[in-house]
Amino acid sequence: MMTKELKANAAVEQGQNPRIESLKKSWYKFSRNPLSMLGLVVVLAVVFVAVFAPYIVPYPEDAGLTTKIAESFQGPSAIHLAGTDEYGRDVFSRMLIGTRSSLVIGLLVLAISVPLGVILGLVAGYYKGKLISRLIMWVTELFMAIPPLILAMVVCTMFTNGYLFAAIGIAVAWWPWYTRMTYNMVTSLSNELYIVYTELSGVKVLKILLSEMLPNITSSIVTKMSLDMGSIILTASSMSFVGLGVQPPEPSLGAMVSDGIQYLPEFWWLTVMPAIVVVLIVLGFNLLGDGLNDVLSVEEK
Amino acid sequence: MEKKNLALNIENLSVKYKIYEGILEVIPGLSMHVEQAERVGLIGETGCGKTTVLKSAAAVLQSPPAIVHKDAIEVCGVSVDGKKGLRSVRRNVSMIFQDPSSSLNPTLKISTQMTDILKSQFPGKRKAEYGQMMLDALDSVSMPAPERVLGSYPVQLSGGMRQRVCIAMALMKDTNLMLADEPTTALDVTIEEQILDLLDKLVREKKKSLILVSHALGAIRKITDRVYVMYAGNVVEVGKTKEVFEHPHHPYTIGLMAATPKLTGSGIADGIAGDIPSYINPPKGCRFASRCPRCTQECLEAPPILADMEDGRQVACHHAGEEAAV
Amino acid sequence: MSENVIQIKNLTKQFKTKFGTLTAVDDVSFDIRRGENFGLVGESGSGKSTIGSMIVGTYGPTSGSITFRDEIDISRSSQSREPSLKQQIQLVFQDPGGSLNPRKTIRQILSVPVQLYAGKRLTTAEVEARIKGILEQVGLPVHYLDKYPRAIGGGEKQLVCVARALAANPQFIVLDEPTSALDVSIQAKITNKLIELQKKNDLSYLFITHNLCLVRNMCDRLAVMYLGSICEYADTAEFFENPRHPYTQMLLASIPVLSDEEERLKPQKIKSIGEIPSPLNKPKGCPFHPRCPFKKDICSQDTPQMREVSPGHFACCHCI
Repeated sequence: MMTKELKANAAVEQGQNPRIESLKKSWYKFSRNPLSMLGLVVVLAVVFVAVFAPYIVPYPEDAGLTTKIAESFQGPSAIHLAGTDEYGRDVFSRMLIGTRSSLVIGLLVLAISVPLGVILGLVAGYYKGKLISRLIMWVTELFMAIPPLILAMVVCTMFTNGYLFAAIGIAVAWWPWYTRMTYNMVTSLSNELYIVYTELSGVKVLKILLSEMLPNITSSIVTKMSLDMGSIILTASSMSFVGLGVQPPEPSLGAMVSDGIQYLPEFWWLTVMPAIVVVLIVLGFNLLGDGLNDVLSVEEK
Repeated sequence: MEKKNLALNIENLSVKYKIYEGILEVIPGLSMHVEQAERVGLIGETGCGKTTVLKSAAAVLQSPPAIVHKDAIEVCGVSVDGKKGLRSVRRNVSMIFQDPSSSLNPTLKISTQMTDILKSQFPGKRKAEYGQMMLDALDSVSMPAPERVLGSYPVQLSGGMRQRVCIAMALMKDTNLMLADEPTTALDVTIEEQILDLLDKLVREKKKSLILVSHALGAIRKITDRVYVMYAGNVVEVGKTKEVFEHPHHPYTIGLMAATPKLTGSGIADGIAGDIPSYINPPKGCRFASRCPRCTQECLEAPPILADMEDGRQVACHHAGEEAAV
Repeated sequence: MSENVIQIKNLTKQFKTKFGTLTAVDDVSFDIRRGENFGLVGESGSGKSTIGSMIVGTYGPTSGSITFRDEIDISRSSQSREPSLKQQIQLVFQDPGGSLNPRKTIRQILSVPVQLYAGKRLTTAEVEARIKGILEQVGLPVHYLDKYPRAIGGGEKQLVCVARALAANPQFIVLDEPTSALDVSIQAKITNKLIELQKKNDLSYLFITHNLCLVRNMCDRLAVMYLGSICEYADTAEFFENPRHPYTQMLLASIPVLSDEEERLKPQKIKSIGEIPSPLNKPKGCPFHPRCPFKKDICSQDTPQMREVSPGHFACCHCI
């Protein structure tokens, strides 16, 4: 006891915050799993590329409508790491720039669907059994019944085709999953004694939801966001594969795969290279998500 | 003492775990033994390592993560290491757990679960014979309406009945050593009394050895011959149950007895101040020193060893025998 | 004449379940005097916690009444109660781990009731001073304020729960098995702290437990419940000297004790038999009759009435 107290006092004196201590511990657990670390490295690389793409690509002009017929259909080499396409544009440069748009769409989708889904889920979960809850969950389930890709396509074709609307389209298909998850967690949290206590003491509902419940579900939401990032990028790529979302000549990974198909199998790099990048990004976010899940769910115990 | 005749013999067991904060030295070096047809109690509070000891005895301690060193763990004279040891453990040891609802499979009828055990123990009998054996087993634990119980799922039975089923299943294996890990903690007082009486009767009748692990001192006093008191991974006192309860020697045992509320209404002693020390960098002296009223410089420097006392008791305390008021 | 803090009259609570109506509390009456520590003892399914929940207002009773300080009717759930009423009646749960939000520091946890019941806006310094005062009262060091619940021991968590209840400055606290999840050495510390706080703050307790020995040492009066009804109800000393109801005797006889001296105090003639029936199909007549060694024909037909067997000592049995 004495030593424990001394240690704790020492910790206070040194200004060690318990929150920082617990973060350090989480990082230790996370860093011990090589797959999680791989995921983190990939994701950091993707973010770096997305932010600095225009400045680091070897041929920035190839993002647009340049044609260099003389250089068309070159295989991967030291000059063109991933070869060139039918217009002689550098596939490697186009891939990096395409990565940027994928990531932006992913972030946009999360920025729309997470707040919407979580707020609805909190309300529906807290008022479980009441009319408002049933209404919210009914709409949620309705949206969940339609395949996300189709829902996104409908939205995209109804409005203008492009970046923003692709994101809105995917978000419309995505929020119900956050509502569902938040709803389930809130209903089980409602039975926790500390929530029962705050309810009995007459704490306001908004305060219970935001300051008692939300901190307990953030870790799960963050984990799901990371896992979803991969799926959203995949969906965005599928949409650009069929011509929705990012519009040519701006490069997008899905459209590059789709355009390259007609040149298979001789000019395989046109399809395979961007496909590998998609796989890598999705894998990176999934590994990171799994790693976060392990660390954060242990943390709760 | 003839070693061959011991139902369980643990010599110098040490268990460690490696975690973020460092190395958890859960059990520094523990020896205990159980003779044939002896009923031994293991007293200890949460986190003192009693379940770890039990798991090592049943060869179910997962390693890794545990780092285990030992001179010997023998069940009925056979070491528990390797495949042969494991087979011997399976044949000689049966276990009863604290929570009878999670030790029965909720999706299978009691009869199915009992038949499975019987089939592995006594293969090649007819269905009717198994049926009779099950009825006998349930009968031996004084189960009311055994036929109805056989056709039920665990959820349809009360906690006490489930624990009776668990005991019946543990007894169907013709084992030498029974390990009971807090078997009555989840039960109500009046039911606890019945289960303890039952365990007592069965163990005596069938001449089995028993280790009863519990933090409920009364339960240990009721049905054991000899008792080990554990604190923070160490055995601090060993002796005949009756004597230990009448005159505890180790300050921890004394404090524990005093802290238990009595039927006499003599008030509640203030318990034992402080907490179990951290298993990471545990104190290099006596692990109880920080909470001990007798603590001196000596206690902070060297760990006490479990030494024999004149009255046949073993106590791990530098000040054993000095019956200072606590 | 001492004032009653809580007066319970003919309290009944039924729950509708898939398997029929469950009568958790069946026509129970008792009162808790001011400054008293009242023990409510029973095994699982006896309805003791249901009574506690009705007093703090988790739900209202099906019938009967609960009166607070002889004047305020509190037979309804907490949503319809005045904030001042919620402040005066506080609650400590059995499971200290589950009743503290794992994502909040002790400071954040304790500041909720302090701010909620202050009646006015407090400055950060005022809140801080009050929290520190309460923490000192329960005997925890100040640096614990920055810890998360998972970083402290079970007994210390329970002390934080007690501190949280005290922060509301209540008159009456329902303690629902506050020490059952704790080790004996820690349990002793908490119970003694509870007794000390009661005297210092002029509190009244309803102490719900299954541990008769604990009640023997800390309660002034007690009631024993079995399957939703009270069997016996008396002063602690009188009760343990002269238990009258067969169930009470069986309960006392079942306690595993530590010495021969205690063994002699237990009723000798009775032995525990039978199972506790499910509250869903309660036996007709006296609920205890299937396990009772002294049962007569009348026991399986008529429900016995509570009778005063000696001054202040009530029992509910046909055979007394």
